[in-house]
Amino acid sequence: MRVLALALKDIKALTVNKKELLLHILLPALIVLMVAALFGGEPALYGEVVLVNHDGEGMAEIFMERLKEERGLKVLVTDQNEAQRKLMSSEILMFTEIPAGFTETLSQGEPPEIKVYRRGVGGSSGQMLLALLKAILAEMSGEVQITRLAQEIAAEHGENPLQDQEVLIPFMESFLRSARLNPTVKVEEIPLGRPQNMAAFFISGVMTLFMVFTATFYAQNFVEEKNNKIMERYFFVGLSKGEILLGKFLGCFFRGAFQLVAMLLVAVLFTKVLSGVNLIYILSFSLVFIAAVSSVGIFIGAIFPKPGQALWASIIFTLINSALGNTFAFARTETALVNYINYFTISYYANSGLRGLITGDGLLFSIKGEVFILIFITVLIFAVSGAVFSPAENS
Amino acid sequence: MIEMLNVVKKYNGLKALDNITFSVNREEIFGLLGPNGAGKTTALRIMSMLVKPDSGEVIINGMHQKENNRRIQGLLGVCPQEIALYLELTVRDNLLFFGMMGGLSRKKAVIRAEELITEMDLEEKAREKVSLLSGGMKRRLNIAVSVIHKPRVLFMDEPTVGVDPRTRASIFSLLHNFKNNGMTIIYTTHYMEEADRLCDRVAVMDRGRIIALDAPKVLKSSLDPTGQISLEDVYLKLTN
Repeated sequence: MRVLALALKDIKALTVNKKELLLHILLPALIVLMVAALFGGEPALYGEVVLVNHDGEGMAEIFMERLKEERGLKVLVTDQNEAQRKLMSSEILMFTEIPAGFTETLSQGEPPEIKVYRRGVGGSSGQMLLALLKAILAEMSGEVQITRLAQEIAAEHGENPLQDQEVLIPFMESFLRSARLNPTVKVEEIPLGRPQNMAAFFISGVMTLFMVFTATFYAQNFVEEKNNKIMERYFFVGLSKGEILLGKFLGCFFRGAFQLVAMLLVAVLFTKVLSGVNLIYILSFSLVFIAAVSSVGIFIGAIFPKPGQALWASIIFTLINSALGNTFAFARTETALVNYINYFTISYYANSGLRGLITGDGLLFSIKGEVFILIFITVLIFAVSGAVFSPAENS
Repeated sequence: MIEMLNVVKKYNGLKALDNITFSVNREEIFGLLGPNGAGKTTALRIMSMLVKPDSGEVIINGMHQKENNRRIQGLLGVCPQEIALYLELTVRDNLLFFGMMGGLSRKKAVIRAEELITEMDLEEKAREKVSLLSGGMKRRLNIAVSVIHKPRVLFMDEPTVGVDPRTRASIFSLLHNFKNNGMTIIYTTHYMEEADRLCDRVAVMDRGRIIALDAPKVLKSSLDPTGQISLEDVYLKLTN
């Protein structure tokens, strides 16, 4: 009971301290909101295709309609100057010009021509877009060829209803529509997990970063309490070393939990980033991670004699865990040295678990490895802290 | 109440306490005097169980420290030189918190906190954050928190360093009240006038040893039977 009172005192101290409230609760919540606003929204498959339509006739319209039918592709029609301005200012990496006479060329059965303006190779999404444009054009061209062939065959076989253009054209359109619905190549799309989303990626990174920082920053308070003899007071009111350490650990844990709830509330109430995600799982896993980083905070507090040293240790620990551990970036190759170093960062397991829950299959069971490692880290570091901690100096 | 028997403590091979033996009587104010590095604070920390001696015995209220650690712990209170309070919490919250830490129920802690707020003359500041109090008020609250759990023995490590004469007088008055209510007080200080005025007995320490121990009046008359000498003169003479 006294251990709990000791821990709850830290929450009370946090709520009455405007600076700490701002740093550990409000700021993380605002950053989550900002990340969701910057990177949120519906995921795009290929991104955006920017078109300049100089033709303005039927085939160009059909071409644009077919592009719009592609899932996840945003079609933006603009004029040549605007498209060039965007390209030159790097707002876009490529745009496509449908030249005048496009419909006429295509209708005559000749190869259709479009122009693609790009910076470099147009980026990886540009390469995919180009392939898509070619495929649609090839399909349209093929359809025109078949229709023309059917016309020629009908003409060669004397009297029959298909010689009449008003009969032939609707017949061919119906035939080709049917062909499109039953393509020769079938690709079955099997969604696994939730769509990859930049906001979800960054939000798990931001959450990890702040959870690490708040827990390790607590080490400074811990050392201050040792130095100004508050810890000795605990000892004289009958608390054992273990009870003091556990109370401080829980105090640190509760602060982290308070911060986590604030971040999750913002993410859920003001954004759609976590819609459809099991929040109980996110909460449970994050609490396991908070326990692990709280034990690190207690350890830093237990070993350093001066608050400034503890603060620097917590800043360095946070920086390492933000720069590594896949917090905000992945290594380009599987075998990169940094991938091996990542295994030694605590944030690696947090990010892996959180992303598994947010964008993976969302099941706690599937991240049991991460949960186990974080619990192991918590117990190990807490035990080591107990061995090195003393409520009084020089005892 | 407290017995120190042949206590030795070394730091890095140097003797901070060199085989010291003395006892503190029940309900007395006992002063530990001496220059810096004399061993006063080490003696205080060993008596209060914050530091373990290398050898020797410490007996508190008839119980050996080594065997009755937890039982003795509850009898002791320590008032450090530092302001060991939560500055962002109010006066009342600090007292309530440490009262509950001391094992009082919330109801009892509230009653005890109100008692101490009155005793320390902090009624008007009870709802104020500690960070907003004057230095003297913080000192008084520091003492109040040390006795919230009603210890039988109170250790005070230079509690009047840097305080104004008015606050010092109010601290003396508090200590006399504590003594009259049955508390034993062990007190370290550099101020001889303060020890002369406050302490029933004093021990003068130098280089880890006790070189004199008695009532201030007796120590003074031992060096000057006319009684004209001050305790400071005695101290300076003893410690060269």
